[in-house]
Amino acid sequence: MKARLLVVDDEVEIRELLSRHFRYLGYEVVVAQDGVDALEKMEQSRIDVVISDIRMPRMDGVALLERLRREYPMVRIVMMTGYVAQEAILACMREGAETCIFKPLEDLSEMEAAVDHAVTTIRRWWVILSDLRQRTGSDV
Amino acid sequence: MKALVADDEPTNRIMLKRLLLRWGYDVVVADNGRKAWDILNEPDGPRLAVMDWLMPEYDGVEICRMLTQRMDGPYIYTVLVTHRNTSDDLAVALDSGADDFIRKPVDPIELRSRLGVGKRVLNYDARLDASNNLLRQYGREMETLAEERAKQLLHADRMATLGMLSAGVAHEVNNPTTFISGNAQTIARFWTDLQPWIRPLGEQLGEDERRTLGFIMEEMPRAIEGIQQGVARVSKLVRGLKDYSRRGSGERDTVAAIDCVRSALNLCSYQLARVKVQVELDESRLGQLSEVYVDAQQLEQVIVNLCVNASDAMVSTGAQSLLIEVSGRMEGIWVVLEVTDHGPGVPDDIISSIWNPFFTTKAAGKGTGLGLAICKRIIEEHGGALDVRNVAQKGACFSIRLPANQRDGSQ
Repeated sequence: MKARLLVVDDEVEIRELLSRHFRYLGYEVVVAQDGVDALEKMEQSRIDVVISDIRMPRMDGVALLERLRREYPMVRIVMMTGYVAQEAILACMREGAETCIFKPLEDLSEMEAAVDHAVTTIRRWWVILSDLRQRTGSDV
Repeated sequence: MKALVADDEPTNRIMLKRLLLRWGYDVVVADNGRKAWDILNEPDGPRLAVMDWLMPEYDGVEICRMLTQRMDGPYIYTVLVTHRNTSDDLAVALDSGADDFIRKPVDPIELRSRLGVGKRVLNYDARLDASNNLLRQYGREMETLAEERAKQLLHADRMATLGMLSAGVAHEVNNPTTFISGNAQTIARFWTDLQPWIRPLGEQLGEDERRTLGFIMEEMPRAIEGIQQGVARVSKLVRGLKDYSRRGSGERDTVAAIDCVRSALNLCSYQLARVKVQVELDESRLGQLSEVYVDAQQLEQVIVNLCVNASDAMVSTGAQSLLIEVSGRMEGIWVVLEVTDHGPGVPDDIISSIWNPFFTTKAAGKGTGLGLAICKRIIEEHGGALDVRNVAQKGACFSIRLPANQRDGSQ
């Protein structure tokens, strides 16, 4: 099964850049323009990893992160930001983001590695779960 | 003291001259009012005048009136000599501006004492004049100081505005840089994958098209590389601007200066070794320095910056000895750290500009011109100073001056 990403950024060019890049790498990608939009997209389809900007109108990245932690605890979240603000970074850490990557994304392989790591972790859980299902299924 | 004797009667004139000479005055004489007036108006003319009331051209009273009315020239003490003796006469003389009045025939003892009064008054005047001059000089100095301070404030204000402005610009530029950079990386990957598929297509093309395709295959990676290098340069500038505008947010702690120096040198050792630059560390003196209360990371950043600058200066000018000396000393309450290179030094005509943001002597694209501006800001935020001077037989010497940490930790 292809891993599904949600890219959240208020700048259309950046959404498209990341969408294009990760689709090319074999992911399925959904985009959203801010936190509110992202929560709507989360309801519409299964998402494995969210890549989110921090500064956005309506609902910013940190608020989105808090909501996702509460409502979708299985989802892995990678934050990105152009602002090196200590409070924001600490909030990301506290709320259990995978990592925080700084724009201008001079080396996309950093982002690829973070997403890849998140997906690998999720896949491992899938394997464990399906294993369990088979066994309990045979037990029952 | 120079004194004027003005009298049209030769006997009186000669008698007065003799008396004054005897009393030690340096005497100038005039036999009419106009000559007297001219002498009194000479530069360095007499400041004491003994004048007959009645004289041709100008009389004594007229001269006194003219002296009080003139706008420039020093104060002159005037004594009128006359045989008039009513109180009305006395009033006319004194009201016209005469300082004193003596009746003929002149009593030498009285005249001597009255001239003594004049000398005393002139002394007071001289003292007053001297303190006035001093005040004027202070005034001028204060004005110069105020002017300089105003210039500094204006500069500081401009720098602060620039800091705010550049932070804004940096953030605005960051987003477009992100999608230029990201897309360039995606295209680079596309191209790597696409290349082996396109190459065989060439066989189906005519000769011209095949040549064009060959050109594209060759140039495409370079074009992508060009974009990426441009982006790298913009990113570096944006980072520099952010550092420049960021104000002391870091944590400060009490650290030994030598530890900061050591870890700074560790940070740039690879960069320096690659261009064969050596660093000589004055361990014994650095070890004796007081501790400083600083954001260690920022201080390290400053030292790294100064060392890399020093290295660049020596390497780019082909200096004979590629050596950087790092030393330290105490100067009263100050801890002074110095980074001295063996390069050509900083030319006099730019030595005051090197601290300005965006000022650089490095080749286009090599330096952002922000390094030293950031260094200066960091050190000044720590209550210190960063200066440069040229050292004969060596090169440029940058000195960091930081307040020594008090033992009781009151800093």
